[in-house]
Amino acid sequence: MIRTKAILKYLGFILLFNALFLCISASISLFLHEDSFIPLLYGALVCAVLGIFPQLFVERIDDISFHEGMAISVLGWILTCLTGMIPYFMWGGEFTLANALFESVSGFTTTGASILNNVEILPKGLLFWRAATHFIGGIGIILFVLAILPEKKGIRSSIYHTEVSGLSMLNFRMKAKEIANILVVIYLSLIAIEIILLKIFGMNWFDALCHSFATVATGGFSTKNQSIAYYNNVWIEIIIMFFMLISSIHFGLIYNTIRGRKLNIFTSGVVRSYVMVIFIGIILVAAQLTFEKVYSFGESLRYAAFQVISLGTTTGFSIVDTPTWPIFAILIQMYFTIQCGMVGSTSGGLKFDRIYLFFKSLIKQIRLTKHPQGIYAIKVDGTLIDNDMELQTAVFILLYIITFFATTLMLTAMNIDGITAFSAAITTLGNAGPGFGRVSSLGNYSGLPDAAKYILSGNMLLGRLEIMNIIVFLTMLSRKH
Amino acid sequence: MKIANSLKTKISAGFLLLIFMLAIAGIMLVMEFEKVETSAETIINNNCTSIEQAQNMLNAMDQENKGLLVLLEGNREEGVKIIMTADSIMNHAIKIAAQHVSEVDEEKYIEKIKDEYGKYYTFLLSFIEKDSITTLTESDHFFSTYQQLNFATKDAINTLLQINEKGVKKQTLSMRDNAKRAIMPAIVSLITAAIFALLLNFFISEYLINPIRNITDAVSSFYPEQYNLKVTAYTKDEIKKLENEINNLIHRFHHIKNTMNDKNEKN
Repeated sequence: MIRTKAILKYLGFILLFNALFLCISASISLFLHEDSFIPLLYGALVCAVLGIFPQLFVERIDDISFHEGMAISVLGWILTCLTGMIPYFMWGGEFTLANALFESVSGFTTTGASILNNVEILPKGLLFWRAATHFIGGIGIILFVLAILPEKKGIRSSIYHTEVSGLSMLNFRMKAKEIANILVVIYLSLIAIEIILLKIFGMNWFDALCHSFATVATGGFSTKNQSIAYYNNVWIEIIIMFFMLISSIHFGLIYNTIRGRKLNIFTSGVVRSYVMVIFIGIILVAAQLTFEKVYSFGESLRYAAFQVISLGTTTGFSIVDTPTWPIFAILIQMYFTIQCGMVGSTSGGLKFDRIYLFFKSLIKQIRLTKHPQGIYAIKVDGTLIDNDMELQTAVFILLYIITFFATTLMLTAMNIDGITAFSAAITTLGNAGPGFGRVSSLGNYSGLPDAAKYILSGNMLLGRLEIMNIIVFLTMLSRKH
Repeated sequence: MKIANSLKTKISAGFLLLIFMLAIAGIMLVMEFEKVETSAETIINNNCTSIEQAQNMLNAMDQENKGLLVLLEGNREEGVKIIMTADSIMNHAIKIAAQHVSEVDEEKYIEKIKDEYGKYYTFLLSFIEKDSITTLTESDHFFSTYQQLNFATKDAINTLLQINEKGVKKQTLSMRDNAKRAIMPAIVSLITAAIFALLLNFFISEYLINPIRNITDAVSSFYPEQYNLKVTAYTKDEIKKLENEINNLIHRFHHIKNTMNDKNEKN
């Protein structure tokens, strides 16, 4: 039986966490005498009041069931996105109801797709909140809460298992508490290092902080209209490329590398394949741009490397507007928005590991067809993959494709052109951000109808929550009824 | 977080939170509406006054033109009178406009009007003092200079008019934004208050109504040989106290019953 009071208690914790970041953003606005102070303060107040209330009533709960954990995870994300839109909506400007929701969902799901035509007019407090939504959503607000919750039997593991996909746990043989703490420590360390490096190479502290939040969370919100192109600084681009790439790799493997364990980012077959695919993508795009004489070889390599890594890691920063590129280069980039980063990282969407596993399953099936009596097993980084996991992966990929086609159809029904509808559907589902057509890398989603924005907001949540969790949650609701 | 033990404290705290939130929303509403009022005052007191005075200046210029024509027609006294009245209106308008500066660089534009008008009026006065035009060349020179100075002054006045019209537009947009911002806390508060009310209803039902119902059921199914009510209250609030007191009552009742039985057996 699902206990509503248990769910409310932990949703309250999540809201209090949001309130903390809203208070920091409001303090920045207050310090700088900005008009975003009241919207941010009021957002913090709503989160704090709704968060404190269940803590007053509900007694200590020491055990949480899997279904309760699932409900906390799904509702936690939805509630976070809804409360996160309050400051935008109250501030006004370009933020209508649909726009505020879109920006909030895009921030928390680390998609980085924006509806803003002019980011630079936003007050600093609101810009910080925008970046903070990436920071909170990057590793999953639930994981943050797990890391700060006192250890209680059953709580961490049941919420954790709904938040982190089964695939990402393959490389971990630790307790949920230990994993949550490792993820948070690595996440914060990467952000701290990137802030310092960006500052050294020419960014101011505020921009360095906001861009680091966006990079390590694989988000993509920038404080500039031209994104990273504004800086026109190769060193900044190299730093951001490195951190985008590292943040899209399984955090457990990064931890293993630091600890000198046998299975690390250098020995993992998945990481090697992932980096290899990205490298091939960069070479192909750079070659096309050079042969088509779009840019010189040096520029082609620079732009191709940044754009492929940015889309391949689902970050979404840009240093050039890509719609004018040859179609082959665009299609390669589209592939990377489908592929996404690795499981156990901050990126959302389909994830490379599933594609890797899918191809291994395909090879297994070919062998089985050739030799029906043979026994073949799939191993990923030394872990034996059972048939259930193979099936789950195949089902997930199928669901992903169905969702993507359904979204594209709905968008085209609203008279949105094919390339825009196709890329908007795939980039929001993959939490990548910029697409092609009207929603290109230096463009935005403001021109789409409100209904499309609501659909794409739902897509971003589906991508972040890995579709299946939402389906299971909805099934749970219907069963309760 | 330590949970309040008393049910009364919990419910009171819930209502206090709701009141606190609504009070803050109210304060924000007042503050934002004050901003709307300030914007409206700026429009009425400064921009509108400046626009009105700029129009007075243009009218004064037209009057001066009229005065000049009357003068040229030979009605010197009447012409001078019209020009002097118009000059007085012009200077008054400039003075009032200078007192209601609201836009960036508006003072600079008023100074320019003063400067251009000064040149124009000095030229006009020199003509009045001279009293007549004798040659055609002199006439051409006079009218071309006069027109040049007149247009320059009117241009400066029109600039003042335009920046104030833009100011009105800006202030109106700002009023619209402030009005929207003023309504937002109310909308968000209403939604939050509705959610809050649902939550409060849920918690009152969970922690007050359900336990009372459980105790009522336990009391109604109570049988004389029983020593305790079969109710499990997890909280340490008034409901738990009620359950304990009912159990004490049952114990006392059994004690009295046993004592009476003992007495009866002895008798």
